[in-house]
Amino acid sequence: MEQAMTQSTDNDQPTTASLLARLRAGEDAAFEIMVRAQASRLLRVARRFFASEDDALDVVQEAFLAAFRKLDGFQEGARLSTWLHRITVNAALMKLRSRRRRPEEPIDELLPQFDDRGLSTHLPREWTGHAHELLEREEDRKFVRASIQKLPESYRLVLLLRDIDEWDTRETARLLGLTTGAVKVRLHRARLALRTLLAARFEVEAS
Amino acid sequence: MNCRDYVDFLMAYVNDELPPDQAVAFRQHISDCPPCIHYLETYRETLELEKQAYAEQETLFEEAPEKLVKAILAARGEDKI
Repeated sequence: MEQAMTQSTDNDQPTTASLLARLRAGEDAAFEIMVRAQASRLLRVARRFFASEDDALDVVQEAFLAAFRKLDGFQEGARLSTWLHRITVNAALMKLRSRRRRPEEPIDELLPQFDDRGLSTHLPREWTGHAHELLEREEDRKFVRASIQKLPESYRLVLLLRDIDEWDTRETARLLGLTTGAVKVRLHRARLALRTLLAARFEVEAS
Repeated sequence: MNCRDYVDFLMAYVNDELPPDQAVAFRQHISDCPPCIHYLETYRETLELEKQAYAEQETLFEEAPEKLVKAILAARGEDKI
């Protein structure tokens, strides 16, 4: 039987000094409280970076171990959830970097095409609904998430960090080892490519 | 400004970062090119869709998978040795 946990940390509350003190003292029960309170949220963060559930699980495990080793660097009064989130993103990026890079699919086919005069060769049409209507359907939300997954990795990571996680341009550049200019260019292209992928489902039929 | 320039300036326009003269040219292009109005609208929808596609999951409280919790606690035990 699972042990009933009566204590938990509230995601939105600054970490209590007592929990932190117990963590720093190496108390097993305190570590377990932290893991149970935060693991599912961090797993959702990790899943954005990986198609494979096993990779996401590995990253969350790695993040907790890294957090435990770095507890001295945690500033009292900060939010434990924010600190763990950052460590999880770092662990995910490190895992992606450690893999042998396969040549990436080019993004060009997903970008808008123009003729010699710079005019669109595909005339964009309206979509069947607005975002707030489309988002009511789980299958459409799933489609959006799957479309993000289809973006080439170097673009997808910029989009995830800038738009979904809302890191600023400079922090995103630092996390990915890019210039701020490169982050802006990739974000621009990633959004255009995602628009193309979404248009395939949401654009009204040509009349 | 043609459609290609327009698309190049799209992000800066949405972020309100275009210099005034380019913003004027950008708006002029929209009034001359109806498909580009749809492009701007659907670009904005794309931003909202991508930002919200994960939002509901964020507010959902799920218990951590027991297998994961056990694996983390076990790994920490090994890490301490």
